[in-house]
Amino acid sequence: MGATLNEELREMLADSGTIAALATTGSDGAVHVAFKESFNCRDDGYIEYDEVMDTSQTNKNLVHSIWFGKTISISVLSKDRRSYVITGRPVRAVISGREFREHYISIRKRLGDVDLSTVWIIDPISVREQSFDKRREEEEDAHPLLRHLDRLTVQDTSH
Amino acid sequence: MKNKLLDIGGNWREGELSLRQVMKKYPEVSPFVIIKADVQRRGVEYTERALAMVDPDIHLTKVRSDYSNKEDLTPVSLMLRDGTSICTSVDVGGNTSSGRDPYLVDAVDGVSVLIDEDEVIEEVSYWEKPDYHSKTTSRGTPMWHVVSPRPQRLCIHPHQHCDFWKTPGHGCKFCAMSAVYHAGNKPELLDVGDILETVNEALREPGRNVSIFLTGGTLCGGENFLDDEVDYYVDILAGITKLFGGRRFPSQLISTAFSKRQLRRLHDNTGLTSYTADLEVLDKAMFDWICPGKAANIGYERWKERLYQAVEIFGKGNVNTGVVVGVELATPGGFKSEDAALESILAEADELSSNGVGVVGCVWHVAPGSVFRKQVSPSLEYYIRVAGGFDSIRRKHGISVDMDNYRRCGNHPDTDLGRI
Repeated sequence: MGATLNEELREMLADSGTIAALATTGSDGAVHVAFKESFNCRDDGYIEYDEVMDTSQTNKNLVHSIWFGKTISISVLSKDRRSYVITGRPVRAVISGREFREHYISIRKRLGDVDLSTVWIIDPISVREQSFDKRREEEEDAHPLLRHLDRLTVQDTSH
Repeated sequence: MKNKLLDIGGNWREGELSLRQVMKKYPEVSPFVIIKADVQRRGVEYTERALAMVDPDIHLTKVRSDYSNKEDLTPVSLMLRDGTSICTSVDVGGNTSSGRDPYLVDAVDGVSVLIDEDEVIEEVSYWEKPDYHSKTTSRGTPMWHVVSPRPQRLCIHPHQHCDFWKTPGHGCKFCAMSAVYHAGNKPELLDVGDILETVNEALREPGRNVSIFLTGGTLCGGENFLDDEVDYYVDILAGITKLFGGRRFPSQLISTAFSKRQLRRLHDNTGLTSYTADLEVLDKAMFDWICPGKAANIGYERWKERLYQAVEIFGKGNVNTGVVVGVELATPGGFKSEDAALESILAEADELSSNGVGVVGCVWHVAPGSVFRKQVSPSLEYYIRVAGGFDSIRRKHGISVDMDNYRRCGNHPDTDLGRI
């Protein structure tokens, strides 16, 4: 496992008010982004994602990813505008058995008469905070030369 | 009984591309599909460590179907990390190698893995058994004798023998159904009440099943040829249809190729949604040689015509035909080269699909107990080329893969490719 999700991010993923977008790529290289609700961080550090539609573009792309070792990313935005990007790799597609049944029952309790195609198990490779203030500080610390001079000038306001 | 490859010194690896070489040569093909095809082709053996990971309360070990009758504690089959199944064969006599070394299933760090030549190839898991499996019907029949599960499908094999085998020389040459029947203590025909009771019980399990599947051996009799087979399936399917409130339900029947009148009766009196009649091999001369019972009683061209009629009744995307990929290279009547075989069968698959009939392939696992038990299956590369060809043809003709996708049979490398 490449990265550990901190408690803040775990809580964000569990919060129904959090917006999460799953970005995947397919065999044509096109990026597909879809907003998803059913992420969960497991005790063993893997992320679970419940995909309800077998032929959705997201599901096809996740299959493409597990077949060819491609990465996916999950962008997470909390209600108070904190943001993270998780890069990960699908490592298992659960489509039957005890684990699948637990998810099937759970998602139907939550969303009503929906189906469940696959429980995707995602290995997080890296986690990066993307909140604007945090990223701006990091950028300016790391790249002090990359800024407009007018921001640095001591302006003579006497004229 | 040794086969030809073992007779030439067991150096079969020198004569064909290895798993890794096929993966490298076909980088656009899912490595899981390539692994699956090779494991189906070569079979598996289990180490003691792998068997120690089997929990009979969780994993599926006992199965009775048309081609199986096992009660030992080896897993019935395997699943790969991408959710596709590997239907490993259980052979009469215990030989699972098809002339080549089988893969080894071992346990490494608490995980079941496939091993070949001491290299860990991929992680696998064992199929889990459904809730109904350990129950009995009101007649006292163990439900696992009546319905065999796949990870997401219920399989019913009402006629566990085949009338073609009752005429000497008429059994399909790759088929071990008759050998399995005579080796076991199975009834030839299942009781319809047992079937309905078991299906009813199985459907209680949430999230387990996406399809109900029926197939069995040919029943020739009746007022008209095959009427007995049609009657039997109509009885069962009509009963199951009641469990769905009289509505159509995701289902597939693989039967002998019925006449248009019989197909109409099947469609109109049951909730069946999809229909399959297996040609087994895509060449008339080889059909006549390999499937003599089918050839003598129906014939290749009439079999195809009946498939086309089935499309008129069940609709495009709801009719397909299965082939046992590789038997077209059996000796002495088969093609002389894999290139020639590939060109011919893909052309025939294209014609079938242009008429709305999908073509799906099974990997030929040379079965002890079959007439072809001493034959040698083709190279792994051949299976990957055929799978890619069938997938491309299906896409070209806009034929949906839903009726036979990876969640249903799980025995077709080509339909696995349809996942993306």
